Amino acid sequence: MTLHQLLAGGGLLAISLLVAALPYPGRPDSFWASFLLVLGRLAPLRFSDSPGTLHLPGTAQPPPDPWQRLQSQLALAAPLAPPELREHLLRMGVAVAQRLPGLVPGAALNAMEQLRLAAEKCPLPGELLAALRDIDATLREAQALPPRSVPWPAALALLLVLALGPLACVRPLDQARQQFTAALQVTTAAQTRLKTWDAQHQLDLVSAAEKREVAVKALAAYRDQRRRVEQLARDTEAVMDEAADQLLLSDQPAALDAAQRAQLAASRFRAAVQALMGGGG
Amino acid sequence: MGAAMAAIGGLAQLAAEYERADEQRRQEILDQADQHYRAYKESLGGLPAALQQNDRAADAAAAALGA
Repeated sequence: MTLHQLLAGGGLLAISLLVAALPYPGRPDSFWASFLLVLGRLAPLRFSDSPGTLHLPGTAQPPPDPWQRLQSQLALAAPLAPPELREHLLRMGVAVAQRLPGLVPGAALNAMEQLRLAAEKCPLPGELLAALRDIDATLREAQALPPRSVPWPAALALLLVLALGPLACVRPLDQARQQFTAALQVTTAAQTRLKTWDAQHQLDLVSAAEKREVAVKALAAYRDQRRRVEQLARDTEAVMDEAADQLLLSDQPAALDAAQRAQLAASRFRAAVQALMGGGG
Repeated sequence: MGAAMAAIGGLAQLAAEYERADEQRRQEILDQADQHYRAYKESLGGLPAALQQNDRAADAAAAALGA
């Protein structure tokens, strides 16, 4: 047995003692209860009549129901998810609770399926998705377990959700890259609109002029205005190139500022194109 | 102790899966940014030529008008 294994075992024994010493939570749906229940699931010292908890003299804790525990953990995970998905998470929690009399948790699996479908429609952080996949797998495994047995891999998966929940947000660099992507989309769309609109607008100017000299003057005046937009397009390119160097080729913290500059430049270019189109030249 | 080792193993496996999923997501974000950057550069590169073509068409239409 290596030193690492000894340390890990010692740590888990320490968790057992900690769980034994802690008071039983008053409210099953509180954060404290959720934390304690998952902690108890990691405790290797257990009594057979109440798996997951350690009973010592003076710490007579009622055995928490594992499915009730799963429900609490799901309810705790729900706020971590985007609002669109919270209802599904809570519904799954209710379905898990209905497993108490020994029903097959098909309803929970259905809720998980709904959750997955909903996740396709809204951006769910990858970390949370991965954790939800683990819960899904655990629920499927739980189907094979006899009623009221302890699906303690579920607790591990839920612990992962709890551990990753606070991190279940896009990292700053990833967020900057997404911001940069959005800025590029805005700029490209504005360029495309400009190309199309410019062709028709110049022809409209000629049609409205009726005489060659008037048309030439109108076109010259319009192109003067357009030149400013063309210059802005070149300025924007410099900003985008710099942002691409920082965001696509490196992981430097300065990249966050580059993404903001790219977004600002994109907004400015789009506004200039809109102003040109609105002004009509 | 066996259960404890299994717990650690299970957690490590979940953590590894999480790492893989996270890396894949980050790569997708990077690829998407790269793809849009290329599209942007291509569109920008075509902008002067497109505007010049528009100019030529408008000039020709103007030339066709009477004095």
